[in-house]
Amino acid sequence: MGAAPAVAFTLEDTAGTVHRLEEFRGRWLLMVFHRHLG
Amino acid sequence: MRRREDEIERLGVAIVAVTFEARERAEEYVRETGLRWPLLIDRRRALYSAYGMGRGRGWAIWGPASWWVYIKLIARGRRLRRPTGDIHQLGGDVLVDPAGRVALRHVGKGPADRPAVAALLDQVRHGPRDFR
Repeated sequence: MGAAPAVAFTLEDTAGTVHRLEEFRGRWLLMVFHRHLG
Repeated sequence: MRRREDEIERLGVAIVAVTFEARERAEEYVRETGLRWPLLIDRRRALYSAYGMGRGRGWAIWGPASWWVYIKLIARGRRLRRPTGDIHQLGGDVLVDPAGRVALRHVGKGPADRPAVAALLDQVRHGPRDFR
């Protein structure tokens, strides 16, 4: 059984740049989900 | 944590951080910590939810392992603030392979629960796994 496809996203970063999952195609990508930013 | 990401980045892995907090707080966080990776803002927590990162409770949030994490941050000179966001929201890590498949998904039970560098690097070299 193959691995699940990653969930597509379109999210803006703090600099105002929009990022999409597709831009990382062909590279490994680590997404670090923060809890609160205390 | 940053040392962990540095090591992973050396293997050519792209890194993004994700927060559910407001833009103002996220920008402040980047300034305070010097975060080098893009900090994506997911206010609706849609991506958190899609990867099964809900809200934790009890010991995982308030237990000694959590306090130990904060003590270590303070010892490293980090100034902690009163949380402005939902302290029960869980975080985690998702590693996506070059074909766009999830190679590793780790849902943290609390601040102290992160996958080891070795496990992440192992995934880059080998295949998919699911950590819960």
